[in-house]
Amino acid sequence: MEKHEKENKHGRCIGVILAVITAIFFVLFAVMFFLTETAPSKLYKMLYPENPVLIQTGNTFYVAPKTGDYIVFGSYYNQPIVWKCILCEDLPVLQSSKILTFTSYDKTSSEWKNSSLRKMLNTGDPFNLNPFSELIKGETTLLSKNQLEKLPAADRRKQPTAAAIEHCNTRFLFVRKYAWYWTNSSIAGQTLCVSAVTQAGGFYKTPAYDTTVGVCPCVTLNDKLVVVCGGNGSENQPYVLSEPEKD
Amino acid sequence: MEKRKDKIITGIVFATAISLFYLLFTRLILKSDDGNFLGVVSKTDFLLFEWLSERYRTISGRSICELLTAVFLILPPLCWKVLSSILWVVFFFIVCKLSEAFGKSDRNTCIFVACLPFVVMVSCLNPAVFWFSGSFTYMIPFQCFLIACSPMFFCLSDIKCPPVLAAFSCPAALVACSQEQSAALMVTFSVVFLALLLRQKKVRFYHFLSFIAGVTEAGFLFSAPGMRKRGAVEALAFQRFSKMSILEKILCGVSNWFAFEYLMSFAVFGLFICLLIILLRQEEKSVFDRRLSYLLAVSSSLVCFGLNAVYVLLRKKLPDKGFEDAFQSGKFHVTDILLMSACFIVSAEIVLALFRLIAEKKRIGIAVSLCFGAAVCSGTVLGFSSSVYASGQRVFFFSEMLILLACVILFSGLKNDRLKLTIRNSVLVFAFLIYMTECLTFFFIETPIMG
Repeated sequence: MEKHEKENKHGRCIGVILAVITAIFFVLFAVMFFLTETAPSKLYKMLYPENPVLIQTGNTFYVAPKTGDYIVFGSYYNQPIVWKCILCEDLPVLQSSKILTFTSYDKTSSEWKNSSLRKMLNTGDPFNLNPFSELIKGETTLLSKNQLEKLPAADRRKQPTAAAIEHCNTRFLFVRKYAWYWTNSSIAGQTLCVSAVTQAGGFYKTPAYDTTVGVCPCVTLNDKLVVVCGGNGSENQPYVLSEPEKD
Repeated sequence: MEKRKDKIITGIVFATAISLFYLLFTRLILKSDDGNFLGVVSKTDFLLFEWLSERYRTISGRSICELLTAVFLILPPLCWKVLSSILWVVFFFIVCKLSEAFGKSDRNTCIFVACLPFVVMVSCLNPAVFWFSGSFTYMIPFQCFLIACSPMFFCLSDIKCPPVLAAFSCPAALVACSQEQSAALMVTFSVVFLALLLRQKKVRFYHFLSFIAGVTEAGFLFSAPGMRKRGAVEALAFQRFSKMSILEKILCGVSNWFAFEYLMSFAVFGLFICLLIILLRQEEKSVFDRRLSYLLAVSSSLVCFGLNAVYVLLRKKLPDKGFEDAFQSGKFHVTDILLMSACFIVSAEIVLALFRLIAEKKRIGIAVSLCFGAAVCSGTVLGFSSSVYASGQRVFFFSEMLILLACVILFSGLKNDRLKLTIRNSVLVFAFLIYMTECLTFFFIETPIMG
C-alpha cells in the first residue's frame, strides 16, 4: 500500500515537471513565432552586427576598379546596393557584396534563360539600377559556378542584408551568418536542380523552387574607367558611382 | 493482463508522439541529399534500374537503400513519415518483448523503451532518423536488423515470436544488409544466434532463410565496384590514410568512437555507466565489486567532464576535431595521447565490470557485453574507411542504439525499487525535453542540427 502511494507521488511529481516543460515549450514557441513574424531582421542584426557603410559624396574623379574594390550604385527595396569587384580581366565584373533577397530561381525549370529570377533582375522593380543602366554592359545576371570557382571559398561566402531578411517569406529563423545563394549554372542532365553556393562557400545543388536561397546579382561595367564622386573603394567607404551625364 | 494493458497504453502514447513529430515537423531538407536525389528522380529520362546499376558501378553497393530512397521520393513524403513511425512502433514492441528475456517487462521498462529514441545524441539522431535521405541508410537498416534478428533471439529465449515478425524477417534481412555497418551486425548476430539455436536444436526454416538472404545481400554490397572507386576518391581528402598501418587505422576508428561516445554523447554513455554500476552494486558479492563500481563512477565522470573540459580549454577545439587533425597530419599532441589513454582506461574498467556482471548474472552479462562489443566494433570499423571523418556523427547511430539496447537489458535486470523508478523518471524527463526542443528546432530552423 505504502509502495503504491509512493509510486503515485512520484507519478504526480513527474506529471508536474512534464507540464512545466510543456508550458515553457509553448511560451518559447510563441516568442519565436512572434520574432519570426515581426522582427527577423532585428534578431539577425543582434546576432551579426553590420559594419556601417559610409556613403560620402564630393568631387568627381576617375577610377579604374580593381579586384576587391567596393562600389555603390543602384537600389533594392530603396536601399543602396554595395558591389564588390570580383574579376577584372577585361572589364570589371561586379557582384553585390551581400545577398539582396531570398527567392526561388524558377518554379519549374533550372534553365537561366527562361527563369523567373532573370526576369525579376531585369525589370527594374524592386531591383533598380537606374540611372546607371547605361554604364552596364548587357543585362543583370548571376555568376556562374565556373566564375565563382576562381575565388577562394572564404570570399564566396555571403551575408544577407537586413532588408533581405525583412522581406524573406519564410518562417525559418536566420541563425547563420552566411546563407546560400544561386549561381546561374544548372546541373547537367537535370531539369530541377541549380548549383548554389553554400554557407561555407562550397557548391551544392538545390531544386530551383527553393525559396530560401539568396540572390547576389552580378553586372559587368562597360568601361574600365568609371566616374565616382566619393569613397576610397574600401568595404566601409565604397566608391560612390557618379550619375552619368545626360546628353 | 494489467501488464499488457500498460504496454499497450505506453505504446499508444509513444506511437502518437513519434508519428506527430514525423507528420508535423519533419520535411524534405532541400539543401542536402534530399534536394540532390529529388533532382535525379525528377529527370524526364530517369530510369530507376539504370540509375541503381550506375550507382553500384561508380558510388556504392547500397542498392536496396537507394531503391527505397528513390521510390519514397517519387511517392508523397507522407508515405516516408508513415513508414518511419510504423518502424519505431515495431521497435518499441520488439524491445519491450526482448526485455522479457532478462527480467520483468513492466510499465517501467515500457516507458524506458519509449524514451530511447530521444536519448540518442541530437547531432546523431537528426541526420540518422529525421532526415529523409539519412533515414534510409541508418534508421531503416537498423530497424530491419532488429526485425530480422529478433525471431532468432525470441526462439532462443523461449518467447513466442509473432508470426508477422517471422514473415518479415527475410525481407528485413535484405534491407539490413544493404548498409555496411548493419550488414556486419546482421551477419555477426545471425551467426551467433544460429549457432546457439543449432546447439539447442531450436532452429527453424525462416531463421536460415533470413540468414541466407542477409549473407547474399552483404556479399553483393561488399563486392560493389563503386565502393572501391568511391573509397579512392575519398582517400584524396585523407591522404595519410593509405600510409597508415592496420593498428593505426584501428586506433583512428577507436579514437573517433571515444570522441563521440565518451566525450560527446553524455546522455547515452552516462545512462549506460549508471545502470552498469547500479546492477553491479545490487549484485555486489565482494569488496572488489564495490571498489570497481566506485572506480568506474569516478574515472568515467573525470574523463567525460574533467579531462574533456581541460582538453577543450587547452586546444580550443572539441576532441573529435582534435583527434581528426592528429590522424590527418600524423602529428599527435600530448593532450591527444593523454585523453585517448584515459578513454582506454575507462574502457578497460567497463570490460572488467562486464566480466563481473557475467560472473554474477550470466544471461544479462553476456547480452550486455555482446551489445557493448558490437557498439565498439561498429564505431571502430569506420577506421578502415578513408571517409571516417566525412559523414559527421550520424555514423554512430548503430553504436548509440546498441548501447541503448544494452541499457534496456540492464534496466530490466534491476530490482523494482525506488532507484529504478528514479532512473525511469529521469530518462522520461530528459527525452521529453529533447522531444520539445526538437519540435522547436525543426519548426523554426531550416537545417536543424545535422552533426
